[in-house]
Amino acid sequence: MTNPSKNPRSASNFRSQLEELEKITSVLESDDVDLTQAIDYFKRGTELAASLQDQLNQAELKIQTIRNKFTDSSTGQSGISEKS
Amino acid sequence: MTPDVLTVTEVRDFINQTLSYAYPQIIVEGEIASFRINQDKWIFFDLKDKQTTISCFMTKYQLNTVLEDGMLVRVTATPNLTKWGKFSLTVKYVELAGAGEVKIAFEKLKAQFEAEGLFAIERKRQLPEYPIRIGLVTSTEAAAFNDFIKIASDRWPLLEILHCHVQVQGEQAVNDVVGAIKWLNINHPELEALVVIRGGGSQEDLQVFNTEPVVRALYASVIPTIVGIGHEDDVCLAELVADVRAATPTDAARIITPDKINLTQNLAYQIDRQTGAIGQLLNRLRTQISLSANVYMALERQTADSLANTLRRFSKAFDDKLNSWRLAVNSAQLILHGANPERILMRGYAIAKLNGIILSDPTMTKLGDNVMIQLRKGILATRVIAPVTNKHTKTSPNTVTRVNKRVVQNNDQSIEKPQISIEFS
Repeated sequence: MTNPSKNPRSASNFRSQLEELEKITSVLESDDVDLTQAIDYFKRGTELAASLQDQLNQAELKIQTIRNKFTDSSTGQSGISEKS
Repeated sequence: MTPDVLTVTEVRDFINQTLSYAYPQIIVEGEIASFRINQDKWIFFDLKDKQTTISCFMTKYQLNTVLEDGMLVRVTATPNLTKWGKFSLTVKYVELAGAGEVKIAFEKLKAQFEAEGLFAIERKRQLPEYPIRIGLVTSTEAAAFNDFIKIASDRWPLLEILHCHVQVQGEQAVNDVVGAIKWLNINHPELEALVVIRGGGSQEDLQVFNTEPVVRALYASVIPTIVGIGHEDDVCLAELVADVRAATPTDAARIITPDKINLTQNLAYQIDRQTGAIGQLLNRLRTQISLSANVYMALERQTADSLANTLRRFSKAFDDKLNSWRLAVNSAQLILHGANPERILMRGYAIAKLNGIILSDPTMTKLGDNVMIQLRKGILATRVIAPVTNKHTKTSPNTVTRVNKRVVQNNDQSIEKPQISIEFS
Protein backbone atom coordinates (compact mmCIF):
# COMPACT_ATOMS: atom_id res chain seq x y z
CA MET A 1 0.00 0.00 0.00
CA THR A 2 1.54 3.25 -1.07
CA ASN A 3 0.19 6.66 -0.30
CA PRO A 4 0.51 8.71 -3.47
CA SER A 5 1.26 11.81 -1.44
CA LYS A 6 4.42 10.18 -0.05
CA ASN A 7 5.81 9.55 -3.51
CA PRO A 8 3.98 12.07 -5.61
CA ARG A 9 6.67 12.94 -8.12
CA SER A 10 7.54 9.70 -9.87
CA ALA A 11 5.61 10.65 -12.99
CA SER A 12 6.82 14.21 -12.61
CA ASN A 13 10.39 12.95 -12.49
CA PHE A 14 9.71 10.83 -15.55
CA ARG A 15 8.25 13.79 -17.40
CA SER A 16 11.17 16.10 -16.57
CA GLN A 17 13.68 13.43 -17.57
CA LEU A 18 11.82 12.78 -20.81
CA GLU A 19 11.79 16.51 -21.52
CA GLU A 20 15.53 16.63 -20.86
CA LEU A 21 16.08 13.67 -23.19
CA GLU A 22 14.08 15.34 -25.97
CA LYS A 23 15.93 18.60 -25.38
CA ILE A 24 19.27 16.82 -25.69
CA THR A 25 18.09 15.35 -29.00
CA SER A 26 17.24 18.86 -30.23
CA VAL A 27 20.58 20.26 -29.07
CA LEU A 28 22.49 17.43 -30.73
CA GLU A 29 20.55 17.98 -33.94
CA SER A 30 21.43 21.66 -33.93
CA ASP A 31 24.78 22.81 -35.28
CA ASP A 32 25.73 24.63 -32.09
CA VAL A 33 27.53 21.84 -30.36
CA ASP A 34 31.14 20.78 -30.50
CA LEU A 35 32.30 17.19 -30.38
CA THR A 36 33.26 17.16 -26.69
CA GLN A 37 29.92 18.62 -25.66
CA ALA A 38 28.11 16.28 -28.02
CA ILE A 39 29.71 13.23 -26.47
CA ASP A 40 28.78 14.46 -22.97
CA TYR A 41 25.21 15.10 -24.11
CA PHE A 42 24.99 11.74 -25.79
CA LYS A 43 26.23 10.02 -22.63
CA ARG A 44 23.60 11.86 -20.58
CA GLY A 45 20.94 10.99 -23.18
CA THR A 46 21.61 7.27 -23.02
CA GLU A 47 21.62 7.40 -19.20
CA LEU A 48 18.27 9.18 -19.24
CA ALA A 49 16.75 6.73 -21.71
CA ALA A 50 17.87 3.80 -19.57
CA SER A 51 16.52 5.44 -16.41
CA LEU A 52 13.19 6.19 -18.07
CA GLN A 53 12.89 2.65 -19.33
CA ASP A 54 13.58 1.33 -15.81
CA GLN A 55 10.92 3.61 -14.36
CA LEU A 56 8.40 2.41 -16.93
CA ASN A 57 9.21 -1.21 -16.23
CA GLN A 58 9.08 -0.91 -12.46
CA ALA A 59 6.19 1.53 -11.94
CA GLU A 60 2.85 0.52 -10.47
CA LEU A 61 -0.33 2.50 -10.76
CA LYS A 62 -1.38 4.15 -7.51
CA ILE A 63 -5.02 4.65 -6.58
CA GLN A 64 -6.54 6.46 -3.66
CA THR A 65 -10.28 6.05 -3.32
CA ILE A 66 -12.42 8.54 -1.43
CA ARG A 67 -15.84 7.48 -0.23
CA ASN A 68 -17.47 10.68 0.83
CA LYS A 69 -20.96 11.98 0.83
CA PHE A 70 -20.18 14.60 -1.72
CA THR A 71 -23.31 16.63 -1.14
CA ASP A 72 -21.29 19.13 0.88
CA SER A 73 -18.32 19.77 -1.31
CA SER A 74 -16.46 21.87 1.24
CA THR A 75 -15.85 19.02 3.66
CA GLY A 76 -13.60 16.07 3.14
CA GLN A 77 -15.06 13.25 5.20
CA SER A 78 -13.33 10.04 6.13
CA GLY A 79 -13.66 6.86 4.17
CA ILE A 80 -10.44 6.97 2.20
CA SER A 81 -9.03 3.73 0.96
CA GLU A 82 -5.92 3.15 -1.10
CA LYS A 83 -4.46 0.49 -3.23
CA SER A 84 -1.73 0.26 -5.71
CA MET B 1 -68.56 10.94 25.44
CA THR B 2 -68.17 13.93 23.30
CA PRO B 3 -65.89 13.13 20.46
CA ASP B 4 -62.58 15.11 20.28
CA VAL B 5 -62.94 18.28 18.36
CA LEU B 6 -59.99 18.96 16.09
CA THR B 7 -58.88 22.17 14.56
CA VAL B 8 -58.60 22.33 10.81
CA THR B 9 -54.84 22.33 11.05
CA GLU B 10 -54.95 19.36 13.38
CA VAL B 11 -57.02 17.50 10.83
CA ARG B 12 -54.47 18.33 8.16
CA ASP B 13 -51.57 17.30 10.35
CA PHE B 14 -53.37 14.08 11.25
CA ILE B 15 -54.02 13.23 7.63
CA ASN B 16 -50.47 14.05 6.62
CA GLN B 17 -49.08 11.88 9.38
CA THR B 18 -51.35 9.04 8.34
CA LEU B 19 -50.37 9.46 4.71
CA SER B 20 -46.68 9.59 5.46
CA TYR B 21 -47.01 6.51 7.56
CA ALA B 22 -48.94 4.62 4.95
CA TYR B 23 -47.09 6.01 1.93
CA PRO B 24 -43.74 7.36 3.02
CA GLN B 25 -42.72 7.50 -0.61
CA ILE B 26 -44.63 6.65 -3.75
CA ILE B 27 -43.61 6.46 -7.36
CA VAL B 28 -46.19 7.73 -9.77
CA GLU B 29 -46.13 7.76 -13.53
CA GLY B 30 -48.14 10.30 -15.47
CA GLU B 31 -48.16 13.07 -18.02
CA ILE B 32 -47.04 16.59 -17.21
CA ALA B 33 -49.58 19.40 -17.48
CA SER B 34 -49.68 23.04 -16.42
CA PHE B 35 -45.92 23.14 -15.84
CA ARG B 36 -44.75 26.42 -14.37
CA ILE B 37 -41.89 27.87 -12.34
CA ASN B 38 -42.54 30.55 -9.73
CA GLN B 39 -39.85 33.01 -8.65
CA ASP B 40 -37.30 30.88 -10.45
CA LYS B 41 -37.44 28.62 -7.41
CA TRP B 42 -40.73 26.76 -7.03
CA ILE B 43 -42.03 24.31 -9.61
CA PHE B 44 -45.68 23.44 -9.98
CA PHE B 45 -47.20 20.99 -12.42
CA ASP B 46 -50.04 18.56 -12.69
CA LEU B 47 -49.57 14.85 -13.16
CA LYS B 48 -52.44 13.25 -14.97
CA ASP B 49 -53.70 10.25 -16.76
CA LYS B 50 -56.92 9.86 -18.69
CA GLN B 51 -59.12 10.08 -15.61
CA THR B 52 -57.31 11.82 -12.82
CA THR B 53 -55.18 14.89 -12.26
CA ILE B 54 -52.97 15.44 -9.18
CA SER B 55 -51.06 18.62 -8.37
CA CYS B 56 -47.33 18.33 -7.84
CA PHE B 57 -44.81 20.62 -6.20
CA MET B 58 -41.00 20.60 -6.06
CA THR B 59 -38.05 22.98 -5.82
CA LYS B 60 -36.10 23.86 -8.89
CA TYR B 61 -32.98 22.63 -7.11
CA GLN B 62 -34.38 19.10 -7.16
CA LEU B 63 -35.19 19.11 -10.85
CA ASN B 64 -32.55 17.41 -12.92
CA THR B 65 -34.23 17.28 -16.28
CA VAL B 66 -36.14 19.39 -18.65
CA LEU B 67 -39.86 19.19 -18.11
CA GLU B 68 -42.62 20.46 -20.30
CA ASP B 69 -46.29 19.76 -20.75
CA GLY B 70 -47.13 16.49 -22.39
CA MET B 71 -44.03 14.65 -21.18
CA LEU B 72 -44.42 11.25 -19.60
CA VAL B 73 -42.58 11.21 -16.30
CA ARG B 74 -42.07 9.04 -13.29
CA VAL B 75 -41.95 10.99 -10.04
CA THR B 76 -40.81 9.93 -6.61
CA ALA B 77 -42.95 11.86 -4.16
CA THR B 78 -44.67 12.13 -0.81
CA PRO B 79 -48.45 12.70 -0.67
CA ASN B 80 -49.40 15.80 1.17
CA LEU B 81 -52.46 17.83 2.13
CA THR B 82 -51.65 21.49 1.74
CA LYS B 83 -52.80 24.23 4.10
CA TRP B 84 -55.26 25.27 1.44
CA GLY B 85 -56.83 21.85 1.67
CA LYS B 86 -55.62 20.64 -1.63
CA PHE B 87 -54.08 17.27 -2.17
CA SER B 88 -50.62 17.44 -3.67
CA LEU B 89 -47.56 15.37 -4.28
CA THR B 90 -44.30 16.80 -2.96
CA VAL B 91 -41.86 15.60 -5.56
CA LYS B 92 -38.27 14.66 -4.67
CA TYR B 93 -37.15 13.24 -7.94
CA VAL B 94 -38.36 13.22 -11.51
CA GLU B 95 -37.21 10.97 -14.29
CA LEU B 96 -38.43 10.88 -17.84
CA ALA B 97 -40.51 7.80 -18.47
CA GLY B 98 -40.68 7.65 -22.24
CA ALA B 99 -38.00 7.49 -24.89
CA GLY B 100 -39.62 10.35 -26.74
CA GLU B 101 -39.57 12.50 -23.61
CA VAL B 102 -35.93 11.76 -22.95
CA LYS B 103 -35.09 12.76 -26.48
CA ILE B 104 -37.08 15.97 -26.28
CA ALA B 105 -35.50 16.94 -22.96
CA PHE B 106 -32.05 16.14 -24.28
CA GLU B 107 -32.44 18.24 -27.40
CA LYS B 108 -33.93 21.13 -25.49
CA LEU B 109 -31.13 21.22 -22.92
CA LYS B 110 -28.52 20.74 -25.61
CA ALA B 111 -29.86 23.69 -27.57
CA GLN B 112 -29.91 25.79 -24.43
CA PHE B 113 -26.30 24.93 -23.50
CA GLU B 114 -25.12 25.47 -27.03
CA ALA B 115 -26.72 28.89 -27.03
CA GLU B 116 -24.92 29.65 -23.78
CA GLY B 117 -21.61 28.57 -25.28
CA LEU B 118 -21.04 25.68 -22.89
CA PHE B 119 -19.87 23.42 -25.70
CA ALA B 120 -17.77 26.02 -27.50
CA ILE B 121 -14.64 24.60 -29.04
CA GLU B 122 -12.67 27.72 -28.10
CA ARG B 123 -12.91 26.89 -24.42
CA LYS B 124 -11.69 23.32 -24.75
CA ARG B 125 -8.46 22.76 -22.86
CA GLN B 126 -5.76 20.28 -23.70
CA LEU B 127 -5.05 17.32 -21.48
CA PRO B 128 -1.49 16.71 -20.29
CA GLU B 129 0.60 14.44 -22.46
CA TYR B 130 2.15 12.68 -19.48
CA PRO B 131 -0.26 13.17 -16.55
CA ILE B 132 1.07 12.84 -13.03
CA ARG B 133 -2.06 12.88 -10.90
CA ILE B 134 -5.65 12.77 -12.08
CA GLY B 135 -9.06 12.65 -10.46
CA LEU B 136 -11.51 9.91 -11.33
CA VAL B 137 -15.25 10.15 -10.68
CA THR B 138 -17.17 6.90 -11.02
CA SER B 139 -18.55 4.03 -9.03
CA THR B 140 -16.15 1.47 -7.62
CA GLU B 141 -18.70 -1.20 -8.42
CA ALA B 142 -18.91 -0.31 -12.10
CA ALA B 143 -17.14 -2.43 -14.67
CA ALA B 144 -16.02 0.85 -16.20
CA PHE B 145 -13.88 1.53 -13.13
CA ASN B 146 -12.00 -1.76 -13.41
CA ASP B 147 -11.61 -1.37 -17.17
CA PHE B 148 -10.22 2.12 -16.72
CA ILE B 149 -7.74 1.06 -14.03
CA LYS B 150 -6.59 -1.94 -16.04
CA ILE B 151 -5.90 0.08 -19.18
CA ALA B 152 -4.31 2.98 -17.33
CA SER B 153 -2.09 0.58 -15.41
CA ASP B 154 -0.97 -1.20 -18.56
CA ARG B 155 -0.33 1.98 -20.50
CA TRP B 156 0.96 4.47 -17.95
CA PRO B 157 1.83 2.82 -14.64
CA LEU B 158 3.45 5.95 -13.26
CA LEU B 159 0.00 7.53 -12.96
CA GLU B 160 -1.53 8.37 -9.59
CA ILE B 161 -5.31 8.38 -9.38
CA LEU B 162 -7.46 10.12 -6.82
CA HIS B 163 -10.75 8.30 -7.15
CA CYS B 164 -14.07 9.59 -5.87
CA HIS B 165 -16.55 6.79 -5.46
CA VAL B 166 -20.03 8.00 -6.49
CA GLN B 167 -23.38 6.58 -7.45
CA VAL B 168 -23.72 6.83 -11.21
CA GLN B 169 -27.44 6.16 -11.42
CA GLY B 170 -30.50 6.64 -9.29
CA GLU B 171 -31.76 9.36 -7.09
CA GLN B 172 -28.45 10.16 -5.41
CA ALA B 173 -26.32 10.06 -8.53
CA VAL B 174 -26.61 13.67 -9.69
CA ASN B 175 -25.73 15.05 -6.27
CA ASP B 176 -22.90 12.58 -5.92
CA VAL B 177 -21.35 13.33 -9.28
CA VAL B 178 -21.73 17.10 -8.91
CA GLY B 179 -20.42 16.93 -5.32
CA ALA B 180 -17.37 14.89 -6.34
CA ILE B 181 -16.51 17.24 -9.20
CA LYS B 182 -16.75 20.23 -6.90
CA TRP B 183 -14.88 18.47 -4.06
CA LEU B 184 -11.95 17.62 -6.32
CA ASN B 185 -11.85 21.16 -7.70
CA ILE B 186 -11.86 22.68 -4.22
CA ASN B 187 -9.53 20.25 -2.46
CA HIS B 188 -7.27 19.12 -5.28
CA PRO B 189 -7.07 21.84 -7.92
CA GLU B 190 -3.53 20.63 -8.67
CA LEU B 191 -4.93 17.56 -10.45
CA GLU B 192 -4.03 17.61 -14.13
CA ALA B 193 -7.24 16.03 -15.36
CA LEU B 194 -10.63 15.05 -14.08
CA VAL B 195 -12.09 11.89 -15.55
CA VAL B 196 -15.81 11.13 -15.32
CA ILE B 197 -16.85 7.72 -16.60
CA ARG B 198 -19.78 5.37 -16.53
CA GLY B 199 -20.38 2.13 -18.36
CA GLY B 200 -23.20 1.36 -20.73
CA GLY B 201 -26.83 1.31 -19.61
CA SER B 202 -30.33 2.25 -20.58
CA GLN B 203 -31.17 5.78 -21.66
CA GLU B 204 -32.69 6.33 -18.24
CA ASP B 205 -29.55 5.06 -16.51
CA LEU B 206 -27.43 7.54 -18.41
CA GLN B 207 -29.73 10.49 -17.69
CA VAL B 208 -27.55 11.60 -14.79
CA PHE B 209 -25.00 12.77 -17.33
CA ASN B 210 -27.58 14.76 -19.25
CA THR B 211 -28.66 16.79 -16.24
CA GLU B 212 -28.03 20.46 -15.91
CA PRO B 213 -26.20 20.32 -12.55
CA VAL B 214 -23.68 17.77 -13.84
CA VAL B 215 -23.16 19.71 -17.07
CA ARG B 216 -22.65 22.99 -15.18
CA ALA B 217 -20.32 21.41 -12.63
CA LEU B 218 -18.14 20.11 -15.45
CA TYR B 219 -18.32 23.47 -17.18
CA ALA B 220 -17.14 25.18 -13.98
CA SER B 221 -14.29 22.74 -13.36
CA VAL B 222 -10.89 24.42 -13.12
CA ILE B 223 -9.36 21.00 -13.72
CA PRO B 224 -9.48 19.95 -17.40
CA THR B 225 -12.16 17.33 -17.87
CA ILE B 226 -12.61 14.19 -19.90
CA VAL B 227 -15.93 12.36 -19.89
CA GLY B 228 -16.74 8.93 -21.29
CA ILE B 229 -20.27 7.69 -20.70
CA GLY B 230 -21.96 4.52 -21.97
CA HIS B 231 -21.24 2.96 -25.32
CA GLU B 232 -19.83 4.58 -28.39
CA ASP B 233 -23.23 5.54 -29.78
CA ASP B 234 -24.34 7.22 -26.58
CA VAL B 235 -23.86 10.95 -26.55
CA CYS B 236 -24.32 12.72 -23.24
CA LEU B 237 -24.36 16.44 -22.57
CA ALA B 238 -21.64 15.84 -19.98
CA GLU B 239 -19.41 14.55 -22.78
CA LEU B 240 -20.19 17.57 -24.94
CA VAL B 241 -19.30 20.05 -22.20
CA ALA B 242 -16.10 18.25 -21.25
CA ASP B 243 -12.77 19.46 -22.58
CA VAL B 244 -12.31 16.07 -24.21
CA ARG B 245 -15.07 13.67 -25.13
CA ALA B 246 -14.31 9.98 -24.86
CA ALA B 247 -16.58 7.51 -26.62
CA THR B 248 -16.40 5.01 -23.77
CA PRO B 249 -14.70 4.64 -20.37
CA THR B 250 -11.92 2.56 -21.90
CA ASP B 251 -11.50 5.21 -24.59
CA ALA B 252 -11.13 7.76 -21.79
CA ALA B 253 -8.37 5.62 -20.27
CA ARG B 254 -6.56 5.47 -23.60
CA ILE B 255 -6.89 9.20 -24.20
CA ILE B 256 -5.68 10.29 -20.77
CA THR B 257 -2.68 7.95 -20.66
CA PRO B 258 0.33 7.78 -22.95
CA ASP B 259 1.16 4.28 -24.12
CA LYS B 260 4.10 2.61 -22.41
CA ILE B 261 4.98 0.81 -25.66
CA ASN B 262 4.94 4.06 -27.61
CA LEU B 263 7.04 5.64 -24.88
CA THR B 264 9.56 2.84 -25.09
CA GLN B 265 9.64 3.32 -28.85
CA ASN B 266 10.03 7.05 -28.32
CA LEU B 267 13.02 6.46 -26.03
CA ALA B 268 14.63 4.30 -28.71
CA TYR B 269 13.72 6.93 -31.32
CA GLN B 270 15.38 9.67 -29.27
CA ILE B 271 18.56 7.61 -28.94
CA ASP B 272 18.46 6.83 -32.67
CA ARG B 273 18.18 10.52 -33.46
CA GLN B 274 20.99 11.33 -31.05
CA THR B 275 23.19 8.65 -32.60
CA GLY B 276 22.37 10.01 -36.05
CA ALA B 277 23.18 13.53 -34.89
CA ILE B 278 26.54 12.39 -33.52
CA GLY B 279 27.22 10.62 -36.84
CA GLN B 280 26.38 13.76 -38.78
CA LEU B 281 28.57 15.83 -36.46
CA LEU B 282 31.44 13.43 -37.07
CA ASN B 283 30.87 13.64 -40.82
CA ARG B 284 30.85 17.43 -40.61
CA LEU B 285 34.09 17.37 -38.65
CA ARG B 286 35.60 14.88 -41.11
CA THR B 287 34.71 17.20 -43.97
CA GLN B 288 36.12 20.17 -42.09
CA ILE B 289 39.32 18.30 -41.36
CA SER B 290 39.55 17.27 -45.01
CA LEU B 291 39.02 20.86 -46.14
CA SER B 292 41.62 22.07 -43.66
CA ALA B 293 44.01 19.42 -44.90
CA ASN B 294 43.49 20.67 -48.45
CA VAL B 295 44.30 24.18 -47.30
CA TYR B 296 47.42 22.96 -45.54
CA MET B 297 48.43 20.94 -48.58
CA ALA B 298 47.97 23.99 -50.79
CA LEU B 299 50.05 25.99 -48.35
CA GLU B 300 52.62 23.25 -48.36
CA ARG B 301 52.69 23.28 -52.17
CA GLN B 302 53.16 27.01 -52.15
CA THR B 303 56.01 26.63 -49.67
CA ALA B 304 57.60 23.91 -51.75
CA ASP B 305 57.28 26.04 -54.88
CA SER B 306 58.78 28.95 -53.05
CA LEU B 307 61.63 26.79 -51.82
CA ALA B 308 62.31 25.46 -55.31
CA ASN B 309 62.31 29.00 -56.64
CA THR B 310 64.76 30.07 -53.99
CA LEU B 311 66.95 27.08 -54.78
CA ARG B 312 66.86 27.97 -58.45
CA ARG B 313 67.84 31.53 -57.70
CA PHE B 314 70.56 30.40 -55.36
CA SER B 315 71.84 27.91 -57.91
CA LYS B 316 71.96 30.55 -60.61
CA ALA B 317 73.72 32.98 -58.32
CA PHE B 318 76.16 30.24 -57.41
CA ASP B 319 76.77 29.39 -61.06
CA ASP B 320 77.34 33.04 -61.88
CA LYS B 321 79.78 33.30 -59.06
CA LEU B 322 81.46 30.11 -60.16
CA ASN B 323 81.83 31.45 -63.69
CA SER B 324 83.38 34.65 -62.48
CA TRP B 325 85.77 32.60 -60.38
CA ARG B 326 86.50 30.43 -63.34
CA LEU B 327 87.32 33.51 -65.44
CA ALA B 328 89.56 34.82 -62.73
CA VAL B 329 91.33 31.48 -62.53
CA ASN B 330 91.77 31.42 -66.31
CA SER B 331 93.30 34.84 -66.39
CA ALA B 332 95.48 33.88 -63.45
CA GLN B 333 96.47 30.76 -65.35
CA LEU B 334 97.35 32.89 -68.36
CA ILE B 335 99.50 35.09 -66.22
CA LEU B 336 101.12 32.10 -64.63
CA HIS B 337 101.59 30.52 -68.00
CA GLY B 338 103.48 33.57 -69.17
CA ALA B 339 105.81 33.29 -66.19
CA ASN B 340 106.56 29.59 -66.71
CA PRO B 341 110.41 28.93 -66.72
CA GLU B 342 109.90 26.46 -69.55
CA ARG B 343 108.68 29.32 -71.62
CA ILE B 344 111.94 31.13 -70.88
CA LEU B 345 113.92 28.05 -71.84
CA MET B 346 111.93 27.91 -75.08
CA ARG B 347 113.17 31.33 -75.86
CA GLY B 348 116.80 30.10 -75.61
CA TYR B 349 117.63 31.02 -72.04
CA ALA B 350 119.32 28.47 -69.75
CA ILE B 351 119.30 27.87 -66.00
CA ALA B 352 122.47 26.96 -64.22
CA LYS B 353 122.18 24.99 -60.98
CA LEU B 354 124.75 23.91 -58.52
CA ASN B 355 123.59 21.15 -56.31
CA GLY B 356 119.99 22.05 -57.27
CA ILE B 357 120.45 25.70 -56.43
CA ILE B 358 119.95 28.14 -59.25
CA LEU B 359 123.12 30.11 -59.83
CA SER B 360 122.84 33.83 -60.12
CA ASP B 361 126.40 34.79 -59.29
CA PRO B 362 129.67 33.21 -60.52
CA THR B 363 131.12 33.55 -57.10
CA MET B 364 128.68 30.97 -55.87
CA THR B 365 130.90 28.43 -57.60
CA LYS B 366 134.46 27.36 -57.21
CA LEU B 367 136.78 25.62 -59.55
CA GLY B 368 135.76 22.15 -60.53
CA ASP B 369 132.12 22.48 -59.36
CA ASN B 370 129.72 20.52 -61.47
CA VAL B 371 127.23 22.93 -62.75
CA MET B 372 124.05 21.60 -64.36
CA ILE B 373 122.75 23.73 -67.21
CA GLN B 374 119.08 23.37 -67.96
CA LEU B 375 118.47 23.91 -71.65
CA ARG B 376 115.24 23.72 -73.61
CA LYS B 377 115.80 20.19 -74.70
CA GLY B 378 117.83 18.78 -71.86
CA ILE B 379 120.44 19.24 -69.16
CA LEU B 380 124.02 19.99 -69.90
CA ALA B 381 126.50 18.87 -67.28
CA THR B 382 129.48 21.21 -67.03
CA ARG B 383 132.44 21.85 -64.74
CA VAL B 384 133.68 25.18 -63.64
CA ILE B 385 137.05 25.93 -64.95
CA ALA B 386 137.38 29.49 -63.88
CA PRO B 387 134.88 31.43 -61.99
CA VAL B 388 135.19 34.89 -63.38
CA THR B 389 133.46 38.12 -62.93
CA ASN B 390 132.72 40.71 -65.63
CA LYS B 391 134.06 43.35 -63.38
CA HIS B 392 135.90 44.99 -66.20
CA THR B 393 134.40 43.64 -69.35
CA LYS B 394 131.21 42.50 -70.66
CA THR B 395 130.53 38.91 -70.33
CA SER B 396 132.11 37.09 -73.20
CA PRO B 397 131.31 33.44 -72.90
CA ASN B 398 133.70 32.69 -75.74
CA THR B 399 136.54 33.80 -73.73
CA VAL B 400 135.78 32.05 -70.49
CA THR B 401 134.58 28.67 -71.52
CA ARG B 402 136.44 25.99 -73.21
CA VAL B 403 133.57 25.11 -75.33
CA ASN B 404 133.09 28.75 -76.20
CA LYS B 405 129.56 28.22 -75.53
CA ARG B 406 127.57 30.86 -73.85
CA VAL B 407 125.65 29.31 -71.09
CA VAL B 408 124.44 32.34 -69.31
CA GLN B 409 123.19 35.50 -70.73
CA ASN B 410 122.68 38.37 -68.53
CA ASN B 411 120.80 41.15 -70.15
CA ASP B 412 121.50 43.54 -67.39
CA GLN B 413 124.88 44.74 -68.78
CA SER B 414 125.09 47.71 -66.53
CA ILE B 415 125.43 45.70 -63.39
CA GLU B 416 128.75 44.18 -62.72
CA LYS B 417 128.24 40.58 -61.88
CA PRO B 418 130.68 37.67 -61.37
CA GLN B 419 131.03 35.36 -64.36
CA ILE B 420 131.79 31.71 -64.39
CA SER B 421 133.74 29.70 -66.88
CA ILE B 422 132.67 26.18 -67.25
CA GLU B 423 133.73 23.19 -69.21
CA PHE B 424 131.63 20.31 -70.33
CA SER B 425 132.28 17.09 -68.55
